Amino acid sequence: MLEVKELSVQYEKENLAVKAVDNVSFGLANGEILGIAGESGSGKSTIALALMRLIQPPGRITGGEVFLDGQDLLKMPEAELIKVRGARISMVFQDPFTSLNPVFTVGEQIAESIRLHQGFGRKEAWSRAVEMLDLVRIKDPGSRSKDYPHQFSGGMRQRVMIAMALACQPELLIADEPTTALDATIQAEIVRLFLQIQAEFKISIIYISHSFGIIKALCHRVVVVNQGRVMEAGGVGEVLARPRSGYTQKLLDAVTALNPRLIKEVKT
Amino acid sequence: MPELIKVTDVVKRFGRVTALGGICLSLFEGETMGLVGESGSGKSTLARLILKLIEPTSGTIDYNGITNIRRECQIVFQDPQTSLNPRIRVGEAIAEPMVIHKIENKVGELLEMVKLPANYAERYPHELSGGERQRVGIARALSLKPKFLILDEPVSSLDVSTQVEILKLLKQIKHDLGLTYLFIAHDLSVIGYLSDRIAVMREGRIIELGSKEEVLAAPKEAYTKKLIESSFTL
Repeated sequence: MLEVKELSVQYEKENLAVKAVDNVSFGLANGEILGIAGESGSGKSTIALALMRLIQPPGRITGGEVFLDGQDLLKMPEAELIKVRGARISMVFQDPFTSLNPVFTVGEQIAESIRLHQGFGRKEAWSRAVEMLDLVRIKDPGSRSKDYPHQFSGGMRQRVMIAMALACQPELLIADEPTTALDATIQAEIVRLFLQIQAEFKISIIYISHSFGIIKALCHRVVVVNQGRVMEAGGVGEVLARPRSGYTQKLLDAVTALNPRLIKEVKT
Repeated sequence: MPELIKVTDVVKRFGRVTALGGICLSLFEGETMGLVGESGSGKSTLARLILKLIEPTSGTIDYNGITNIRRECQIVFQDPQTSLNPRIRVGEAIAEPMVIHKIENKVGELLEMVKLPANYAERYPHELSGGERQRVGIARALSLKPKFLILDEPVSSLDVSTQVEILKLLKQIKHDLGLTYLFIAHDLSVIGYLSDRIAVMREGRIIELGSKEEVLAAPKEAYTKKLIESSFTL
């Protein structure tokens, strides 16, 4: 459904240019969960933003193509692209604290995007917003929809963000480190929620993370990036068992060094 | 091993909120006690009490073999980006505690101990990577020759490969200097790497305490089991 070809993004300042994304190519099938793994500064978030053409100056996309069902998003007029963003592709960010507007109730914020993209009236949009909160397993969604973001915990806020992202029934959901700011037990719940959502709606998901553990639990395939380049790509089982790139090996070694054998024994 | 610090029935309230609801904990010389718990469980409050930065509402903390708490008990913070003054060079930042306590300045030796080149003394924090900044934080904590070090989430803002380097360094330093650590983290794999014993905190109480093997391989409490199940291992 999505085909990224030789995508490059550059950040420019005076005469200095830094390639944040360098000739990145990958594909995504219908209903697939693809992981993008890398350390901080690897360019994984920049890839996500570039897919939706959300790179802000001084950054700019310097080359490549992003085909969504055969249409190149990078060549699409802005007016058309607005209909794709949020409706066909939506995004969940790392920090649910800063991505919700504190002065509107969560119901209003979800309903707004439904009205905007699907042309529903106020009432229908609101009842759909409540349905969405129910879908992401927020208890008592009817009255919770009238609450403000500060009345939700971190994990609940991230559920609201996911509800908002799913509200317009997108074909593709891009999640950028959506559990990094959360406690371990909540993180596990949110990862489970992504699995349930994928199974229920058969949507495609791009999941960006620095954690190979989460990618193993969630994704079908993985693209490993470092310094803006793709180091390797393949099935998650394959890459974790037999990494071809030295960089992937190094990262996995670090994770295994930390993984206390004891924990593994308890879990298996 | 002799007891270095003994926390007895410590309660800490902030207004109506009970942050710690009766903590008993003994720290023995030379051990690393891992303190694990989710945000809000009271880990950092306990750390601040032990450092005497705040006073308990009730209960006592005894220091055996520590005469000067300000000098002998030190802390390494989570975020090396915000715990270093951006306008002060690394060398000066490390030297500051020694200047205040009027002891011999050993910046070069300390940089060597945390495996940073001597010329880093001239650099500013922004010229360093996250891992290097955390090394500076460790050097500064070591500058007054402490006996006891609190490590409050020292690697949680770092990439995995850097985490391993810093944890290895902390292990080495503890071995070389014979320190006692209280190691606070929310990540069980990080805790498991460094700790001899592990205390699990929840809602201001220690709900499980035992050797690393006991807690990680044979957890008794349902909450500890849930924490272990929630960690994503390979």
